Amino acid sequence: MQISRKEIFDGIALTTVKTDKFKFNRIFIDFILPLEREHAAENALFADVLMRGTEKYPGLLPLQKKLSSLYGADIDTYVGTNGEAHVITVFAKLLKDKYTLDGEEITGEASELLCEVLTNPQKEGGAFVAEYTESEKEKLIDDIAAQINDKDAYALHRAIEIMCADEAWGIPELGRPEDVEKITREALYARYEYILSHAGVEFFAIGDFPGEMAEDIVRKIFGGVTRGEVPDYSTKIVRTAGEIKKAVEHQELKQGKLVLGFRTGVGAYEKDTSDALRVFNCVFGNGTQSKLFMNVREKLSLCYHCSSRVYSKGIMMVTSGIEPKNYDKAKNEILAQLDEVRKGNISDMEMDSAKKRLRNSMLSVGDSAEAIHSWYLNNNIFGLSETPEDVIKGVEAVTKEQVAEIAKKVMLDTEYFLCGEEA
Amino acid sequence: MNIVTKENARIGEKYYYMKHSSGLDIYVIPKKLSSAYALFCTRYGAIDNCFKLAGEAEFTRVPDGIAHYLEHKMFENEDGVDTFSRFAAYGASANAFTSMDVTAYLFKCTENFGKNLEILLDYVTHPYFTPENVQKEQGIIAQEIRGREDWPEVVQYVNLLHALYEKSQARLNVAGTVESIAKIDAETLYKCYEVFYNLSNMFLCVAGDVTPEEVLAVADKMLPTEEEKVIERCYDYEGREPVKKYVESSFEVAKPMFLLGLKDDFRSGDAREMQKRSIAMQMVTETLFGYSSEFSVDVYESGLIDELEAEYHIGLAGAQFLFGGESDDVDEAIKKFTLYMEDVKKTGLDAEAFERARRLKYASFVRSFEGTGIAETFSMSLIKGCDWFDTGDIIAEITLDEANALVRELFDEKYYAVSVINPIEKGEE
Repeated sequence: MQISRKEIFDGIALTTVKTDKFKFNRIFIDFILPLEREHAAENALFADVLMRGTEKYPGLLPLQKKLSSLYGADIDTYVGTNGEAHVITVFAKLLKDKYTLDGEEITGEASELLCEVLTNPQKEGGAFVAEYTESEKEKLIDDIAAQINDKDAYALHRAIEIMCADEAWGIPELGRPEDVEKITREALYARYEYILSHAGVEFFAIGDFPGEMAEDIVRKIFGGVTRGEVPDYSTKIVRTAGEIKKAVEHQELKQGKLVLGFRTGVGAYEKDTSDALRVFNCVFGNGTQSKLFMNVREKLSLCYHCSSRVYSKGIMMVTSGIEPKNYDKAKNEILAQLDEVRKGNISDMEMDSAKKRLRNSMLSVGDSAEAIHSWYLNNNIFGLSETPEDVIKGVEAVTKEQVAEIAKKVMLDTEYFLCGEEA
Repeated sequence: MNIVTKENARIGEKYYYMKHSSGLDIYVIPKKLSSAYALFCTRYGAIDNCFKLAGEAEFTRVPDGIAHYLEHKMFENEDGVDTFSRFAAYGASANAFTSMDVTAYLFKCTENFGKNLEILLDYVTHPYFTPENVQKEQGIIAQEIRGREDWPEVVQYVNLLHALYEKSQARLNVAGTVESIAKIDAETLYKCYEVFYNLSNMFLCVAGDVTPEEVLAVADKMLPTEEEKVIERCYDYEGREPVKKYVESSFEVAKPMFLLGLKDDFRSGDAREMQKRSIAMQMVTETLFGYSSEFSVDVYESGLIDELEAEYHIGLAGAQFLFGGESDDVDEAIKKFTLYMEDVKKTGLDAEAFERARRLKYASFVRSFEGTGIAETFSMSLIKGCDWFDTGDIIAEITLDEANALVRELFDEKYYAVSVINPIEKGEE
């Protein structure tokens, strides 16, 4: 596997990952912007409207028919956050020509189509088509409302909103319904032009694209764009928690969803602490050897899942599904386990398992195109140049004392509980 | 040992098959990747709640959810060391799952493959159930069940199966209910273990940068030779008419959700026939409801149905076609589907759309070989007696006429049932 990255235009870099491991070639185009309340909804919406039709394939049906005739060439978009960066990804997943049933060549045509979707959307009077814009607005509002359907994700999302009410990380990645409603097709088109010309762009070509095809695609998409300065999308780290925020919300539920939000006291990728933070997370709450799994689940039988996750924002969230009456028991046990780590009560086996778990996951990165993409995208967003092998070395050197030091910095910020009325 | 090689030259993939002296079937799919994935599976799932060994006079009926409970308890060992920590010492991530017709024990690792495989073969062949450790699991599994009861999609699906089936095992919940699992004890677990965890009822499947010889060496070391046991399973088959045409439940969700099920009573001793039917129906579903179908675009543009999903599922205890989504006007959505299917029965599938569906399904077949996840796909196919490697050829061969015949045979309003989840507003309860 050969990996190289080069800047093609201002703020637009092409990362080429040459490998014959996969049956598909993949392109990921990540548009990176600051997560801002006034633009979150537009950022989330523009790519959906792009998928409604192009000048050459006007309308959803012609566009989808074309895609499916290219062996279901999967060209689509998704929205996410990484720290306080808002990332809108347009991707293409293309069956390699050598695997088509009758030897048809589809890569070239599908790549053209990707360029067409990004640069030549169907227009009406110089802006997006009114019908598509209104329809996608409604769907986005529906999607925002539908977040309530997934109770675990909803609880986590609410806890984050409460915890980071005054920080960019608390801004919902799809925007708010009232912001979506206000968007006009003209404003959205202007936002689309702004994104092409200003967003940080990470373009990934993973697989074995012939010759210079990948670079040609970048040039085709961005060649005609005058680039401006990329806005600052860095993540602000809040190192300490103030008074603990507490919230209980009710829905008709069979199980209570407990979420505890912590400030880790460090950024996720700070040179001196990032590897210790990774080991800490595994020792404390990630994996079947973690203290949370071994105690909250296995010893006390309080739950089926109880785990921690550290985010790029330097925040750790602990989630668990419990019997509502066990709220205090579960919360106290989680905090007691954190105290154990602070005191350095970490067995050799716990350290060893945590390191091996991390080693295994680092060694697996190269096996999946999606994992390769998120690894290097993360590097580029945070200005890192780490390989999974670097992390393995760093993790190997982490001591129990360093893990305990991290735990001492970890502070509870927010307690959130979603449960039935009777609790 | 005789090693059989099967190759699919078109996509550059192969597997090795061996019948091990212990009675175990072993499959190795070589993949030049860093990680390896191994699954040790038994042909035993939620539907196997009534069974006997050949020669026994009476069938034994056991509480619902027992296969899943047993899976949880296999992680206990007599020496008190839990299985997860044994794997962790060699850097593997281990897990297990139970579905309607299979229980699978698995690990993924990038190093120490042989050691990890030893652990896998060892712990699954050594049960250790005590009244205490069985009791301890009640709380954990109860929360697993409760957690699932908070998923509207899950409740909707369970409701639908209860509307479609009266007594068939196809209506069962894999984890059982909080009430049914309370009846499970160590003795019953042992009884089920003795019947279903016989090596002749199991198989091992590995994908990764591993040779068949490596796998065989571990099997030789770890597995005893077992006498083959013949298991008789009692499945309660039933006709196509559903028990109820309509069921509903309420939840705090944003929009009404619906799921229509069509009951198929297909049964065949011939796995290839079953595989062909399954693939043909997947192609039909893609043709009629895929992203590029006129139906899908129509309901998307009009906003009648969001999150449209359609699939055909075939299991050993029953088969269903499912069609669902979210809609502010569920009646209209169901009506549109019903009329559409009547129309398709008359006019037949669009030939061009069917060819696009063929290409799309073929591409996803090829995609299944990209990672070590192929071990799981391959295993789930084996459970039904099917060879996943044949899937590509079947996709290429199925004709439009065969697909049309299936549509005419299956779709009939008489056999539909609908499950709806209605939103409740806060304060309305």
